[in-house]
Amino acid sequence: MEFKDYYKVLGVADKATQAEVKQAYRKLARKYHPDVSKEKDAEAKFKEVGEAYEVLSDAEKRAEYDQIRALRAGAGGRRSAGAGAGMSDDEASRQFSDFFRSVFGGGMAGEGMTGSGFRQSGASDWGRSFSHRGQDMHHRLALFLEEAVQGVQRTLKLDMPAADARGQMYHKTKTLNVKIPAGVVAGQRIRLAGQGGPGHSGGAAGDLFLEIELAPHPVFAVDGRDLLLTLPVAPWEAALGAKVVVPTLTGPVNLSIPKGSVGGKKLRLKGRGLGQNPTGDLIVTVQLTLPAHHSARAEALYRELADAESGFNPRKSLEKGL
Amino acid sequence: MSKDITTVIIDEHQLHETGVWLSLNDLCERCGLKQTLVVELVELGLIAPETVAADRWQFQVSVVPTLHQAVRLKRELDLDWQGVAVAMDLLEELQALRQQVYSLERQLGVR
Repeated sequence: MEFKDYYKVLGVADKATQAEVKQAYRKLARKYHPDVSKEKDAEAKFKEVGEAYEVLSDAEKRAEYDQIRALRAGAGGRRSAGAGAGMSDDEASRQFSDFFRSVFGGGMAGEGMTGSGFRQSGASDWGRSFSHRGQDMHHRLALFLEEAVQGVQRTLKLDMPAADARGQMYHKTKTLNVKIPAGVVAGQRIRLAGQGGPGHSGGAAGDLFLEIELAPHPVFAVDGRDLLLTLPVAPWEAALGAKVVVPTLTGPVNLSIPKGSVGGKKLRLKGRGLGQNPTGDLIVTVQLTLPAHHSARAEALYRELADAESGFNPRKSLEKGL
Repeated sequence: MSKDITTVIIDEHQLHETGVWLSLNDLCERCGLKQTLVVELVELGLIAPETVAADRWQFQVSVVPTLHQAVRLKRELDLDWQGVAVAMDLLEELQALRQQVYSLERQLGVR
């Protein structure tokens, strides 16, 4: 088992005061909080920081930990004392490390952090409820746009808190096949009644809240219920108008580009977006584009065009600034 | 580790679930929070109740994850409730702005 140097995790000295420990924790917690941080491994680091703080902020636990740490140092066992060194994903996915459990016992879960979703807190406002209803859980589910539009079946593996016959907390994996209908949108919360943590002493199970996220798509961007598509158009198509084929999530459609479309013009394809009641639209933004190289003939034609349109000043609106 | 497999089929009505309401009491019990605190969070605008009678509130069940997140932020970042309210507003705005930047970049063809 990995020995965890909680002082290194928080970046504080052995003799750090409670105030210093708290300050270091606050700073790192802000840095790695999974709701805030975009850093890689933020969640694993955050858990580690939380665990270190749990121990070092409590005089009793800290004293106990210091003893173990001193024994280890005495035995010359510095081999793997690095902060989180070699921590596996599996280890990181649990709220407290095996190391923590081995020192402070597994019963800590209810008092500190539990489950993969919500963490219960020991703060005074968050006293343990007398109700024996199971814990509500939260799970983010990332879908591809196609899946959101067409519906999809997903298998979720959830880390569930459970209690054995003696009331000892442990974790078990619950496997849930979820069939999601067509029409979900980003940020949507779907409540699965009774699929959260199990109730105690005959209490009802908690709910599971699925929060839908949409993975980036190579072609379409998302704005609420609307899909956005940038459509490259040649200058002559924009000038003369054209019929082009554009992709949608439900298959290609024909789109007429009106004569005289300028770059940035938006065309709306009703009902080709996301969600239901109402379904969003596909908003196509025209983007003028040129071939990388023009032929001599094309350049000659452009010169002719320039002569024919010599009265046009494309920068008229900027004249005030000249 | 013991395992069990459950299949859940979400029907379309659940996507638009607005009919599940909790009383102030139910919400407090469910989240393990004191009534005075929930009232304070309503006053801070973190969650919004529906007023069914002059002295009776009810809450959409979807406020439960919001409350859990608030409690988590308070504890894990060691904030006061005012700070939690500001953080959650900013997080929401951050997410909307990230989405907007992403969309605009896509339209400009830089992504």
